[in-house]
Amino acid sequence: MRTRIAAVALAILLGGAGCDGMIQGADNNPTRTAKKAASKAALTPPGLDPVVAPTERTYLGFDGVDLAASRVVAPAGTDRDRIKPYSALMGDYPRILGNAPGLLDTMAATFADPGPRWYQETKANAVSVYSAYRIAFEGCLTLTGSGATYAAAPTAASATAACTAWQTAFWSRVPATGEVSTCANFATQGTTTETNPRRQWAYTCAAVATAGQFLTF
Amino acid sequence: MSQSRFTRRSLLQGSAALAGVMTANRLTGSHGFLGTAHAQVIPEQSTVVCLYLLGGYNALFCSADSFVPANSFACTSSNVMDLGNGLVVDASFGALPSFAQQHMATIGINHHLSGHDTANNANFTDGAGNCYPVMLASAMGGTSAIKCVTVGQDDLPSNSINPYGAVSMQKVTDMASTIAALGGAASDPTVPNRVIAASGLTAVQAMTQQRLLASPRSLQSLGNAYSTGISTLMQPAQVFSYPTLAQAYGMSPTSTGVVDFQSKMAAAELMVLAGANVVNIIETQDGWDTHGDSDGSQVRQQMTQDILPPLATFLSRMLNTPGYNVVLAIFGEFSRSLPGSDHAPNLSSTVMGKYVQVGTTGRVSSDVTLSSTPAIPQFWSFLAAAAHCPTAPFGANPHPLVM
Repeated sequence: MRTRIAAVALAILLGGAGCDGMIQGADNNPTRTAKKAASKAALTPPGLDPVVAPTERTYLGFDGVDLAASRVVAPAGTDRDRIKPYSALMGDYPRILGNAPGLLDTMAATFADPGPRWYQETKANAVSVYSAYRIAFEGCLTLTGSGATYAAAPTAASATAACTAWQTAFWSRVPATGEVSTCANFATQGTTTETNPRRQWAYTCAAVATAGQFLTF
Repeated sequence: MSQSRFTRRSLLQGSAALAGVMTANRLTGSHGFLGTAHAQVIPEQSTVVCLYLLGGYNALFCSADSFVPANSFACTSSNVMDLGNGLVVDASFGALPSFAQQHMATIGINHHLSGHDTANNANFTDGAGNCYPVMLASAMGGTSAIKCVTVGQDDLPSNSINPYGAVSMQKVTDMASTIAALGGAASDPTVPNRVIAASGLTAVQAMTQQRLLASPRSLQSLGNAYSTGISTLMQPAQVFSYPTLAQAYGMSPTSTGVVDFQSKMAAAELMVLAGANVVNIIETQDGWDTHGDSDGSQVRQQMTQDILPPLATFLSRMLNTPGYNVVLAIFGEFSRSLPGSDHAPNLSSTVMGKYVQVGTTGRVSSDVTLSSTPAIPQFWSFLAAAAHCPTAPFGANPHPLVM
């Protein structure tokens, strides 16, 4: 009986100690408050205002450390996009381009493919985005290799039409006006050192297929 | 009025740089540059290579004499090597080039951390979320587009790998793709013109801007990749011979992925020659969290069989190459404690470099403790000093082992 009472008393004591730090309203400890503010500031993405009020409930551990310090503070709806893994690109390039660029098969290591039945959050780097552009360019050369539209160099009108069509198809949504004009400007001004019109179009097509609207989902 | 600055020193520097270029040309296969190099004094290019053994770095390698009296980790007077000035290392380091042995130091880090996550974070990140390797790469300056890079699929084991200034952490997971991005792809109609591709990626970056802003964390690497990719394409093309590199490291010329330690060291050499300031190698092929390895046999075997052969190749090709100042640091979360090879609350690292003086500030006691030894930022300040970094981003270097 005495043992049981002691156990219950111990449980109450431990529970009480846990409660002491569990729900934290106003914190009068200036060191802790400063530490929490600093950690929150470090976690808030630059340019974004935290939506969580400073008087939110926080939780202190036994050692006085804020258990919510590593909580990501960001407006709802941010960071919803993810970079497509290599396994997704393997199907997506042929789907949008209508052909399978030969380079794609050799790029597993470049896109850090973790292999079958493994998952790893995909991250991009300078080499992988340039490789994505190369893959797209190869496929776009086939795409623009035939058809009267691509036999002549891009003009403002033809580039706007082609960019709109590619962006809609590759990104699975209607592009914004600014996105179309950026693409069209590149087609008409950024590719002029290329003398072959079909290659000019391929460069433009590859840019649309290297945008985040295609490489992420 | 122009003033001639030609001195005996500049002549020697120019000769050394020219010799370095000739050495590098073994890999680049380029000979045309020699015609114009004679009139220039090329400053020495520094690169810090961080070899991180994920799990820990046993002090038996870099403070071997600490364990001889009690035969801890099976250290005896016959399996250690005295390099002078108080530095005694494991005899397995005899497999490294003599120049490396003559320019090796043990640097102590008394970080008081014995948890993997906390030590990993602290070793690479300051309290404000700045990543030490990226900070160092930024401070070292230079013109290379890819200034800080991790080779292989393993990321730096840190929560924060944020950009610092204009420098972001990049990755190299395939050497053929990397050589292509640097301008060394074989001439082929399917290879895009670099100037137009740079313009194309600039348009891509503009088209993607809203999406990047909406996902500042999850797409951070994509935003950095566009910026660095554009800069890379705007640099003059660099030509490398992958078969030559592969042959030097005993690899197949058709296997270009950075998938094991051998290929990581080859990729490190590639990035040194490409002008990177900091190259990170996270070694995960072997397990370095060697609990129970009381006689050190497991880490000795891993070091001898897997690490030292490719490392010796790298060091013999890079450490004493004129025109280059390569600093290589071996470290991990912490040293291994006694008696069970568990987690010691400190770390002793091995650093080699052209301007590193033989000696030690990280000799541990017989029970693997360090006393009055500087902490993590001071370790990075030593690396910065050994790399002759133009500024001191981590403060003054307290380890007096830089020539």
